Amino acid sequence: MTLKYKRWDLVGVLLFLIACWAYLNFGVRYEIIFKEQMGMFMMSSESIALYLAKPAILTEIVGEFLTQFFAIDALGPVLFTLAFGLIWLGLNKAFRRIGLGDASSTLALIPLVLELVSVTSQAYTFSTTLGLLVAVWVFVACSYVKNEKVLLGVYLVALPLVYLLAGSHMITALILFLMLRRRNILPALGVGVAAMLIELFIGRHMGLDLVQTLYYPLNIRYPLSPVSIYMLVPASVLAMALLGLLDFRPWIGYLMALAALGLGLKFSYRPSENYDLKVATLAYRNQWSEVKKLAIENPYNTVIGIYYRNLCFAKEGKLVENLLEYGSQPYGALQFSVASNSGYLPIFCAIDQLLEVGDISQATDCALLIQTVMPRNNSSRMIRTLAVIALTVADDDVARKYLHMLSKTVLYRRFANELLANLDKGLVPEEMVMTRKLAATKDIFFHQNDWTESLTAVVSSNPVNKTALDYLLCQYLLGKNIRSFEGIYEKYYEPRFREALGIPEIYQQALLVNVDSQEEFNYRCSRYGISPEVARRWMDFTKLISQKAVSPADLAAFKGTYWFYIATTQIVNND
Amino acid sequence: MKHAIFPTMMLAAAMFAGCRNDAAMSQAPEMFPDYADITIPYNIAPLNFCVDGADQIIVKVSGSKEYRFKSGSSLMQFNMRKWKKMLKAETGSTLTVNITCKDGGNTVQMDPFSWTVVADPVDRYMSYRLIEPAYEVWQNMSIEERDIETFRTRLLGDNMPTDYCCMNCHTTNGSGTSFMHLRGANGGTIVNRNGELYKLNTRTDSTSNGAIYGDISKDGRYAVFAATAVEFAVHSAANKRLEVYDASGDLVVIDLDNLTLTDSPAVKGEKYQESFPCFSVDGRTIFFCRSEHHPQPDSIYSMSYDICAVQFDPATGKVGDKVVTVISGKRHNASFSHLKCSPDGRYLLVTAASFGTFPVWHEEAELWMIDLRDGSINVMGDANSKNADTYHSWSTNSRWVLFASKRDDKVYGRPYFTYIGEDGQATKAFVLPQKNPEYYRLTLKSMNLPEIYPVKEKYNSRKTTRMYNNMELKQVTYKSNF
Repeated sequence: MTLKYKRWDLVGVLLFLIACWAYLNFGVRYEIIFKEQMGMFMMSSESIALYLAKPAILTEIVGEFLTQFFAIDALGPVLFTLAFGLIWLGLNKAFRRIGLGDASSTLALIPLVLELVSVTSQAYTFSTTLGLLVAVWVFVACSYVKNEKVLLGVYLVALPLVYLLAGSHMITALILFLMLRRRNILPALGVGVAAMLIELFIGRHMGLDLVQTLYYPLNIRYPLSPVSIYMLVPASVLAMALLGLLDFRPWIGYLMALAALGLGLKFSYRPSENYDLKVATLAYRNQWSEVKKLAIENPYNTVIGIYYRNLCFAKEGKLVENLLEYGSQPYGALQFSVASNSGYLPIFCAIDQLLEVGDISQATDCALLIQTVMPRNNSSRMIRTLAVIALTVADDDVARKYLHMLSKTVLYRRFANELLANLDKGLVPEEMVMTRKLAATKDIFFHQNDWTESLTAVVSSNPVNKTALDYLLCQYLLGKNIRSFEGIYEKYYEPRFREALGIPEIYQQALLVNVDSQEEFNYRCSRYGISPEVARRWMDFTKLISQKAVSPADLAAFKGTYWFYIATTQIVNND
Repeated sequence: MKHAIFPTMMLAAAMFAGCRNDAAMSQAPEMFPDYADITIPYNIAPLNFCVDGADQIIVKVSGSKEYRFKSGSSLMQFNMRKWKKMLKAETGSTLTVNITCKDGGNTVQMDPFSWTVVADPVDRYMSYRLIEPAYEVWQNMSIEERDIETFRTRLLGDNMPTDYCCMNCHTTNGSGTSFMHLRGANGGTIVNRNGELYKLNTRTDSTSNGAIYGDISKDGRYAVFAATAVEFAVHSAANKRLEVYDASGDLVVIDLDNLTLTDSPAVKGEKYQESFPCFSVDGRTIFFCRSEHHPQPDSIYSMSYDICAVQFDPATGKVGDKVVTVISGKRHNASFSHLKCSPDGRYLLVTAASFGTFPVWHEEAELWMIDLRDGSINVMGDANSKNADTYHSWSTNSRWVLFASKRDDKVYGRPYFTYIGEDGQATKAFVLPQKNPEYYRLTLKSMNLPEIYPVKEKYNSRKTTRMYNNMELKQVTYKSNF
């Protein structure tokens, strides 16, 4: 290879890495940031010792340690890109060792593209990428052994060691090894089989079943992604190694890499998911003006976007006025009804609204639920939330526990130490005291997923909690449960808020829905002080729907009214 | 690239920052866990502890001679050999412990306290379930066996390779027979009879529910279970948590020799709900708790469980037909659960809560000890705490009680020991020592359903996994005895 060509090669790879960084940083930044929220790395021997009980010891420790810095904007993409660069260097060398010649550098890009695609999945942790890095470089290091018998022995030791230290990407090292020894493959196959058997033994010894052993550290129960992505990279390494044995021109490799990059980005780029994660992350960071802006834009019309739009308006006391203002309002976007199979993001997000209305009971439930269903049963976001909840309800002892855990992390230490110091002085942040005042004091029992019952308990304990009351009334409205709406309205809104605040237009409209006679109409108009405008439009609406055929165009005149919602929305219960 | 350089510098700075110990030692340092002024068995593992902010800890233990231990960090981890030697030499003595902590140039002397080392050993092994204290859901869960004399642990069951099934209630009779339940598609009750293992289906057409809480007779032939329908409800009050209750409950007895299941009209039916049975030491009485049925959860505050007893004939396996109320719950404003007879037959240890049958989430729940000779109740003030103290287990010499306590933080259960003296008085409880004393503060797992026994189990989690996946289920057959 000429020096000039080498330079171009290097430029090409650098451009490729810059493209990777740009994609991770600008295309899927929040998917990378969210990885940090899904785990928590504590600087303590006790926590680190836990990693010794499963394979991928080294890459799990290093990967989890570095993942915590993904919380810092743009750092995750930088770390991934650095890892990609090192993987490329390793693969390039590895392909050269197995005799692919000048095509090596370009062929090494293809597995990288697939790695790039994989990392956008929440199931694919940074430690998995480091696993590939370790596997490739261990292969390269061992491949320099000249004596054939020693070489076989070295790989027999190195491959299981790779599994122990770096996890299932041992398969990548094994594929490279088999390709290296392809001319005398039988002894190599023997080593490969022995290495796999040792892998199975290690997995079994560490309490993993067969599938878990083969995929570790990928969590095969992860609800967000199929495990098949894990095999993309080793499969592509094999394919490239086989392809490279043909007489291969390097520029074809670039074309292939570009094509793979294009296809990979097409399939891995999920803008709506990234949007959801962005909104949820900004809410977690308390950047509510940004959240509101994004939630109103909601370019992908996601449920999370609508949920946060409602929440932002609720924070300003304008939930009701804006409930039907922005087009469709699916039932279930007002308040997430969370179950163990809801997925992490809705459970994370649900807590924001629950704390806003003072439903501490359900917020605690959500926080412990997500703690349980997380792959590693810990999450910095949830520990932080649990600490806040514990402080809010004055459970100081458990608050101390969570804060103590956070004090062992790098990024949350200051937050934890400040709160611990305040706790020692008996101080609790003002916003937590405010939430405490909203919480239910009356104790009733309800089933775990009975969210309206729980909200009713909050409202009945504290009838001046208008945010909770509005959420409850709106929940009934969106569920078309007019009888319950009227009951709660009469009991809590009418006596406390009507005189001071008047009746929001949507409530007025809802109070007319069950009118079935002129007398009833007159009575309700007078009883609730329905505005003449609402009364006139109700008459128009009833006239319209009493016609035999109602066209959507006619109904559109009532868009934004509760009657329009009733007439056009079919409730899909997401419970 | 400005984007990239700044975060990289931040990362480097943070990596160094991560290695610092920020906590400064307070003027009155506290050790965690609290091991001050306790009674300990001579065979307990070292009582490792930590003092936040300390750079150096010096422990001076004075007994028949003086022992010095030193640590160069905030964690005091005693040398195992030196510790064992000390306890052996000082058995029967009360030791005075002086702790000096250094934080830079600052030296703080903690108030001296005592360790009373008694000659009554605690049973060497214990089991507990490791689980997040969340409510009706779980993911990873395991049952671990711990050697109390050392820090060695091993898994008896791990649900990762068993379809993430629920596993619970590992119970032994202290003389070679034990059981635990594995739920899930291939589940069953794993019974171990001196190393002979089998998987049992305890559901029959004649019983309403599968077996849950139970006990094994001393000779290992019979197991008595509560067959209950467990349900959950949530409290709306912010500082209260889950309420677990039985929608129904009966008692069943399984003959492990013949694999038959029997019951009695006295301990089944809809009028009463029975739970938490245990055998008396001679095996001729079954103690259990019972409440009149009320619709739940609405009337759960009316569910007050009494301590009751029914005759049992070990020769025929017949459950008696007359139930006697031993202690009335209502009379004591309590609801009883978790009945366990001391192996010497003298005491019945129970959990008393204000209502219901699942006190784990009840702050007021505490251990009460009933003297079976005269019916007197010892409320065990020194052993109990402000948070839930529940689910206990007796050491085979009847001198030690192991129980689950949430005293540290109200949410996470920890195994605590208390010593029962000749006079029946319980001493201040102390938590199971760990190699790393920070363990309890850094784990998000509860250690619940602690069980103590003298001989280690003859199986491990791999065997449990094989039993779950491959072993054929043995069906118990219903045998009417009335």
